[in-house]
Formats: sequence, C-alpha cells, structure tokens
Amino acid sequence: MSNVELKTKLLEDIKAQFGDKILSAKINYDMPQVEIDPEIHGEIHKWLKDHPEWQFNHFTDITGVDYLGKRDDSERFEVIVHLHSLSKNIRVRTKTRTGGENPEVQSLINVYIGSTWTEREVYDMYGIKFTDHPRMTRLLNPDDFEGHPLRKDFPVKGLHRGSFPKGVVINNKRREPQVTRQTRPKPADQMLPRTPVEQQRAPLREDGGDA
Amino acid sequence: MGLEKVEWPGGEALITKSSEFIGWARKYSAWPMPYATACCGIEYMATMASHYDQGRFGWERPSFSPRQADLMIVIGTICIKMAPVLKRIYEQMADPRYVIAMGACASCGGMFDTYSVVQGVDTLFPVDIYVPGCPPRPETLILAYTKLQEQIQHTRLEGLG
Repeated sequence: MSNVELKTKLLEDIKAQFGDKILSAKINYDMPQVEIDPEIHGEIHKWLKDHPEWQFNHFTDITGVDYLGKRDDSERFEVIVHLHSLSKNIRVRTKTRTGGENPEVQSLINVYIGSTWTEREVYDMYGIKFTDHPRMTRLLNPDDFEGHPLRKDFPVKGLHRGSFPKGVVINNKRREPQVTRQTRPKPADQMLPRTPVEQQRAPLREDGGDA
Repeated sequence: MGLEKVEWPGGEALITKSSEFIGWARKYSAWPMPYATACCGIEYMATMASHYDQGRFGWERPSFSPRQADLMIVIGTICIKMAPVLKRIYEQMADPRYVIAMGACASCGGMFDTYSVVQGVDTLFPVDIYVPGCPPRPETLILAYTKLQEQIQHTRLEGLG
C-alpha cells in the first residue's frame, strides 16, 4: 500500500468510526488532518492509540492557535495535536475548536502521559484549561504573571510595563505543589501496555515497574 | 599611586598614602562570579581560558559562590522569572561589591523588548560597568575590567584611611 493510500485509508477509518463528529478530514501538506468536535477530543486520541492497525503510540506535540477577529468568539482558539505512528511511520493532526470566557478542552494525560507539561504550556500561553489535568498551573511564566502572552490581544511588551519601578522585583512567590500521591500518575502507569503489540510482550518488571 | 622615595636608616624606603596602598592591593584581588545565562557566556569562557587569560589582570579566581565573591558579572539575558533569583544572589555578596553587566541584554534588555525579559539588570541593583556588544569580544570585557580596577583603586573605604 502506498503512502497516499495509507493516509486516505486512515481518514476513511476515522470517518467511519466517528461519523458526523468529524467536521472535516483531508490530507493537508502531506499530512492527514481532521477537525473534530470538542466532545470526542479525548476519545479519538485514545482510539488512535489503541487501534490495532494504526497504533499512534508517539505523542509529538500539542499546541494552540488564536484566531482573534477571524472567527467567532465562541470558537476563537484551536488546540492542535500531532501524533506519530512508529509502526506505520505516518503522522496525523487533529484540530479542536474552543473559545468563550473560559476555554476548555479535555486533557489527554490519561492517554499520553507526555502531554502533561505541554498542556500546561498551552494553558500558560493561551489560557485554555484542560479538564481533569491534576496540576493546571503555569509552566514557563512566573506563577503570578498576568495575562496569556500568545493571545493576539496581549501587548508584546507585557502588562507589567509601567508598574515595574526601578529597584522593585516583581513578586514571584513559589506556591506549594498541589500534586498529591493520589492525583499524580504513577511511574508504573507509563509502562502499562497500551497497544495490542505491547500487550503480547512480557512485562518489563515483575511488580509492574517502579522507576 | 603616588610614591615617594626617602632616606631611611639602613637603606631607602617608599612612602605612600595608606588609602592608595589599600586601593592598589584591592584592585588586583577581585574574585569574580560569572552569572552566565546566554551566549555572552561563551565569550566570557574565552576571556577566562588560556588564550586571553584573565589571570594576567588580577582576577585569577572565578568564584562560583556569591558568598566568596565581590564582583558579579551578569552575562546574558535575564528573564523576569530569574530576576528574584539574581536579586537574591546579589544580596548574598558581601560589601564592597561590584557588578559588571556584560552584553546588550544584561545592560538594557537588548533586542528582547518583550514581556518576559528584564530591561537591564540595573532595574534590580546598581551596576558599575556596562559592556556593550552582542556579544562583546574578550578584549572589551578586559577593558571593562581595567576600568573597574580604576574605580576600585580610587574608592575610599570607611575606616581605612
């Protein structure tokens, strides 16, 4: 099966599975791309990862886009996820729209543990909250930073200009970690077999692994 | 340093003012602490290493602890998240202390005129010498240090003449 046929078949599979929840599906710049309903944001990625044929087991990136003034305020932001299938060597891109006063998207940490920090980065830069995330706080900016820098209505020079007199350091109190033993994903969860191929493999350690 | 040669029983002696003698000793005794965050750090390493050899000018020993240093060289971009840390490091140094801001970013924010970058470390604490350049060459840093040496030489300390 050639590369283009493979990608077309992937889009057909996704459309057959999720039906009208898929808003659009096409090959964009040699990469299969689907725009999805926000409801199935968690579901479709779990399906792509657990699918016996496709096995999108590598989470590449999650990022956001601000379409201020180009789209309605209720769907102002777009959350974009890139996945990679190591066995098929193809990639897929999903786009989810969100917006309003408190933009929210389902979190992917139960599917891909590697998405924890990148989701926090998207929250930091765009103010998009990820539901069910155990620690939805800022990642790169100081904890008491005002605003979300990559929003189009954020001034480039920042909101603290003018209120930053000489000799004064802005307050950067470190918060106590909110993560507890119950909410934090255990190291063993990262090693649990997910795809059918992984399930056939012997466990890495007897006790399931405690890194 | 004004020296005067006088006759002394059993030979000759040199006479000077104690403040100038102490200043002469202090200016070759600075223990610098490099605080390198960006590409200017590479130029500082070249200054430190054998080719330019900063030890020739009396700052032989780079100290990586603020408590054993009296000259801080801020080398590179300082983000607002790093600013409180840098401020605390400066406060840990014992008086008399000196600061060199090396490069455009440490001096004035440089090309990063954005929300996340401190627009010059002189918003946090006083700076003695600004070194221009992006990054400055090692010769520039050596010149800055000799300028600072002149400054140290002519600084009068309380209770030391």
